[in-house]
Amino acid sequence: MKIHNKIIYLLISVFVIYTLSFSGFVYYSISNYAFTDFYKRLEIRAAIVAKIQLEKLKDITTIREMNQEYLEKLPNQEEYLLEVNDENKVKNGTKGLPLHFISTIINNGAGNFNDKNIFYSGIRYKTNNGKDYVVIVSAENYFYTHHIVYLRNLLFTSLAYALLLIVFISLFISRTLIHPIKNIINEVKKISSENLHLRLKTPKRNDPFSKLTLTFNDMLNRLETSFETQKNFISNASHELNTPLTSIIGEADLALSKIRTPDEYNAALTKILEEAEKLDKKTKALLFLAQTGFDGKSQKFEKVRIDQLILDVKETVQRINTNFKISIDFSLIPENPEKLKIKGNEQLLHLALCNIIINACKYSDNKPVFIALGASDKDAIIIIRDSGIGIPENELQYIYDPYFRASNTFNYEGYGIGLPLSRNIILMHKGGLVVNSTISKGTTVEITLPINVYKL
Amino acid sequence: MKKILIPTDFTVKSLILVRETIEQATEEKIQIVLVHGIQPPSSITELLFFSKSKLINSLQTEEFINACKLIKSKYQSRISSMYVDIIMGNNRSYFHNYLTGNQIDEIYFPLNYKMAVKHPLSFDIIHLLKKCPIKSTALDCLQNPVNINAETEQISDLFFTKLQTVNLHEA
Repeated sequence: MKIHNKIIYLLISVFVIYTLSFSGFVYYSISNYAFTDFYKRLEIRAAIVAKIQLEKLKDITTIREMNQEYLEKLPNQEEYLLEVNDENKVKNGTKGLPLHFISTIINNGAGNFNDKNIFYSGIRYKTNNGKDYVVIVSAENYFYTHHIVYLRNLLFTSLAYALLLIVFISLFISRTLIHPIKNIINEVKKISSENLHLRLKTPKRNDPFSKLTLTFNDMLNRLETSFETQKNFISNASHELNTPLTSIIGEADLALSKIRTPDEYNAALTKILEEAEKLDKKTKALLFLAQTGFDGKSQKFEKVRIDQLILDVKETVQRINTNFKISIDFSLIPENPEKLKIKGNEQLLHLALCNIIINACKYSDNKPVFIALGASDKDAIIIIRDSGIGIPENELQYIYDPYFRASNTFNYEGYGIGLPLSRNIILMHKGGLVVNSTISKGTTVEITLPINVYKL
Repeated sequence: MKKILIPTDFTVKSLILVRETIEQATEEKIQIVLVHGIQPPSSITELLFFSKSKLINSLQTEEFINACKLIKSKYQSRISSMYVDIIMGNNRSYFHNYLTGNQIDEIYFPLNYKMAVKHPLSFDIIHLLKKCPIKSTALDCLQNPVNINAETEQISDLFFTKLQTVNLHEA
């Protein structure tokens, strides 16, 4: 069943059940009321009739006048006066009234009974001179015969009208509910991998539908970025791998074009070896990147002291290039050494920090690089600040893409794989990496690593 | 135990003053009150729904809080407490009242530093700190950034202060 029809049926059934039970209750209680009310009226009349007909009071005329003036005759009103003998039986026959009705009155002192539209109500009456009577008044219940029918018709017609109204309302409601969803579906259908830049129109209202479109747009954003990243990665990687391959092929071609001296062969082979080694480095880095991209379950994690790690990294970096100047600021190291211990893989963290610090040194032309260490109550914070060439602001979002290199790095050697690798390692340790940069002024890298989160 | 009042403008940089203060103070245990001056709002409805803690929360950035925590863990054994408060009057008698009411023992304030305005109703409280009945010390450790790697509003503002001054001297 379509959701559209489902809503309509649901609404109609709920409304119909409600109105039916409502009008049924009204009808039942009104007709019930009409019965009891009419019986009471007849009973009062019976009492008056008994007083007038059977008693010989002085002010009987007043009562009669009152009766004639204020109590109008009911349709088909008739009065019966039956005398009761000592054996609780009526004398002179029942005048066409059912016997069980009369015996109820005699036994209970009062009674009601109806025969189709004619209603009977009676009382037992003892006169002052000791005679016993049953006084019965009968009349047609005009209200019951006419008004109740009118009420029934009224309820039925209003029910029909309500049904009509309900159908329209439920149609309208289901339209308004379904319409935005249909819109979203149509718009989403238009978007495919060729036109991922398209976005859904977001309505200004703040309802679940606008949230849905926003969620869709968010998802599209992520999709588009990952598509972009993949495209970039493939083109960059093939370019990176192609360059050494081309030079290997070219070199080999050149060497084979004619007979050469051993020295020339030697030179050519050395060059080929060099290029092949470069290629090997690149593929290894790539492999490493792929490995660290996993959730890190295969790595061994142990206790690592960050301050020691930083000192080690400094030593390593300066061994690689003695021109690199690194100054370490440990002035804000926490008093409690427990706050410097994290659970991690020392080799990987060493590699990550090395990459970042070498980058800082490389891109700042051997100007001093500052490393600082501190700890808040949850994280250890490592800050690496250089005063180098910086990263252009509009390229800051791409720096974690493998093989991406900023536009101002043409003077520097590199593969564009160090930072993504470092970031993967940091993320593996459930830490964070924030890069802030001003072009040609410097870059600040802030690394946070959680402390005391693991029980060792 | 000593209670020290230090002005702040909710930038990480202003916390360098805290660091310097702790280094200078001779007492083993200190309490630190970071204060910022904000005038109370002038409209009745704003005054009705005014909440000091909400205001403080809106002014503190995550970096600022983290930097505070960093300082706390650095001087764990010396800082017995450290909290941020707001001064709401720009006159001397109010301020003196505040000092006695909060049992402040000493004041440290920066020399040659213009507090950043983080809120439209902020005012500079340094002129109040200069003339007050209790001991107040001016520290020349904060300078408004001239150039190098200007304020990043990051935790890194807290570091490298000495290094940079050393570098400037070398240059």
